[in-house]
Amino acid sequence: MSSINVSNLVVKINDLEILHGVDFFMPENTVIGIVGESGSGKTTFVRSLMGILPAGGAAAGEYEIDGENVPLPGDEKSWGNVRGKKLGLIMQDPFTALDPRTKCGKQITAPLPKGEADTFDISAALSEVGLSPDVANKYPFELSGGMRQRVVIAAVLALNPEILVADEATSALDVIIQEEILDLIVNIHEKKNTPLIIITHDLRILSSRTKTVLVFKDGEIVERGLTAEVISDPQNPYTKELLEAGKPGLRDVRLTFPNSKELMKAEHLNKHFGAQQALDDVNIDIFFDESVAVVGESGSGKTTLARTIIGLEQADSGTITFAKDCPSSVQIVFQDPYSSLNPAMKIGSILKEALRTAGRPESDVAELLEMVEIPFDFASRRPAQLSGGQRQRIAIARALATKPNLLICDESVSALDVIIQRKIIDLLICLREKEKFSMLFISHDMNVVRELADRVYVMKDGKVVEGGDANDVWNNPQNEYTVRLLNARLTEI
Amino acid sequence: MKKFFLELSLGSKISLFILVVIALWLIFPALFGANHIPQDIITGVQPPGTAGHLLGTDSLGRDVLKLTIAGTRSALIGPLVIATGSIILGLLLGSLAGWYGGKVDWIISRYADITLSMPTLLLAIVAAGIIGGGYWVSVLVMTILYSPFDIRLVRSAVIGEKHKPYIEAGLVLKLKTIRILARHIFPNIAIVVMVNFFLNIAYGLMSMSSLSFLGLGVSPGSADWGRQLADSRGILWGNPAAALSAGIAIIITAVAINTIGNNFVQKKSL
Repeated sequence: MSSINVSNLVVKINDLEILHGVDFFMPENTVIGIVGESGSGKTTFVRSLMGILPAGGAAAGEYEIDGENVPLPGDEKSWGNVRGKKLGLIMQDPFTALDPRTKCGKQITAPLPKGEADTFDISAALSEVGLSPDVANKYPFELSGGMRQRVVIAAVLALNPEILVADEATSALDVIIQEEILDLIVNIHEKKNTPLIIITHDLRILSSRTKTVLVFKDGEIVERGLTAEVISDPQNPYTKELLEAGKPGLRDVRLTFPNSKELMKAEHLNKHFGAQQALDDVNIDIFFDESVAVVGESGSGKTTLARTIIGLEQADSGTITFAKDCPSSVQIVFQDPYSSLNPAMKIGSILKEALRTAGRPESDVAELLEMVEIPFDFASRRPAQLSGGQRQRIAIARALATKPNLLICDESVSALDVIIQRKIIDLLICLREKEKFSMLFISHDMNVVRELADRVYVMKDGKVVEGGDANDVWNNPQNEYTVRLLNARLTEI
Repeated sequence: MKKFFLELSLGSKISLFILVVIALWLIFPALFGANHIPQDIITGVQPPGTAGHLLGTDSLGRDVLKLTIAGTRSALIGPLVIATGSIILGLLLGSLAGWYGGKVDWIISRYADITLSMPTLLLAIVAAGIIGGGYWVSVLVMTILYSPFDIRLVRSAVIGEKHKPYIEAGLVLKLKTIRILARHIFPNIAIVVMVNFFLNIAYGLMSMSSLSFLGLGVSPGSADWGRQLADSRGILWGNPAAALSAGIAIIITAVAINTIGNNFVQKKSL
């Protein structure tokens, strides 16, 4: 039974104040949710509790675990008793959290003292996290992301921490797996009575799992209270915005006008990467002015499909045909806003280059920037000076500079914070009304898809398992996999 | 600019100062009276501190300080040409190999492997033996033998960049390959290429000096650090400054170039 009491926690990293006096109390045996967008200081908060701030970081304030004072900033010796033993941290990325050259069993016992490691029951530890004993003899690369995260959890539990901290522990995983891992963590909490802190950018996953919630913004707690109350009656304007952004839009009116003219038709597409079949006899079509979504988990082949349509990959077999009277002008907006703009070029030059390829005058840069609601003086900035959302707007402007018939959005909003995500989605909806292009929207997020798509294809293991009108798929899914996908994300707040 | 200078470490400031002085020696030797160095064989070797000759004179009676300053040009022009030439070859062949891959990559990479396996100095000596030696023959041989390092470097940097979304966005916009390479890839791999450029100057300085020391670089009697080092071995007791000044000039220049190169990279990669 453990509690945490933190008062007036101030964290500076290289003289920049990240946390401005945070007060935090965690009673025994509870689940607390911490929510906030990237840069809000939620991860810095956890890192300061564990004494693992990045270089140049310094924490100050009062910090107690079980009424025992933990000195801040503290030295390596005092932190040794906190890390792992008092607080067990489950980190975000299971793909880099494990040593690729060590078998999983050994990684679980690695933090234990020598004597204990020999007698430790690895099979029991694995079964506790829902893995079979033979995982102990496997290397991380032989496991899926969800299984790796289970191994990470087993390693954290091996030390029997008094308090569990899950820092975005599921953000890197597919929706269905996300649910499984969250349930696992909550189960462990219930079984062992271990207090649990869940940190996330996604309010939805907290709603049914935590009693109390804290909202972080710009290094401060702007709202705290019972989860149900905060969600039903938010007091802080930021919390309201966060909740609004997370709500799936209910769009019943179709944006597009019925248009029976086919823009693109892909037939019997097959594509192998080594032994893996990324596309397995895929047939899809897109009509003029239509917005089509392809939904699926990672590895379902949805990105390969997009890349094949745009010509960045060649299909092994199959055909892609575009309507005769329209030149096959397709453009794409990628997922990662940080690598999709050339860091060495100014925004203006990036857009001018795109305009030139379409034979448009360079002076149209102003028009493009206005279209994506970016001030004109950004033309002289470089990508590094822009936020993720702003960069994604520039990427959209670059794609639309050529006035394409089809715009492919490959997970274009998944790397962004919810509020920014909402704004980009609104922008895309508005642009489609104005510019009249067809859209192929690739996503793993059913909520996003619901707002943008007229028609939906669901992909799994390289196959299209379901396709049809978005409302039909939404309200009456036929395929079992689609049902699971919908259930995983339908949690409305 | 002022801020940039103030932020430099002490070592970098000193290095920068040294390189400015050496650049002046290189471009305007006349400023230091080093354009014309009279011989005085009859007086011969004089120790440092002799009136009119701060560092004394060598066996031909030439002023050592002036000789060292005059030797800058021959010592550094070669390495600069080598580093520039090898970087041009590297960018050209390396980006072809990295960008196109497949057969093009195979041919260029095997060429790089073969040239890489040849001992630089030995080949320069052999070439001198066959073609008859001379400064520019050595420069040519070394440019070719230095280029595989640049080719490999550029190749791997291009491969690292070419799958990034901003390059793919360029492909989707149907930009010309030459434009993608020149406008999108080169600026982003410039740092690694610059590091090697600085390293190559320093290596080239050492190699060219070694060749001159062996009597294969410049013709006897020319002002050149390597040559000066070789010629002054015989008068090490008569005027140690004659050999030392050339040796120290080589070392200090090489270190200063590396320091500045290193500093440049650290600033850029922040």
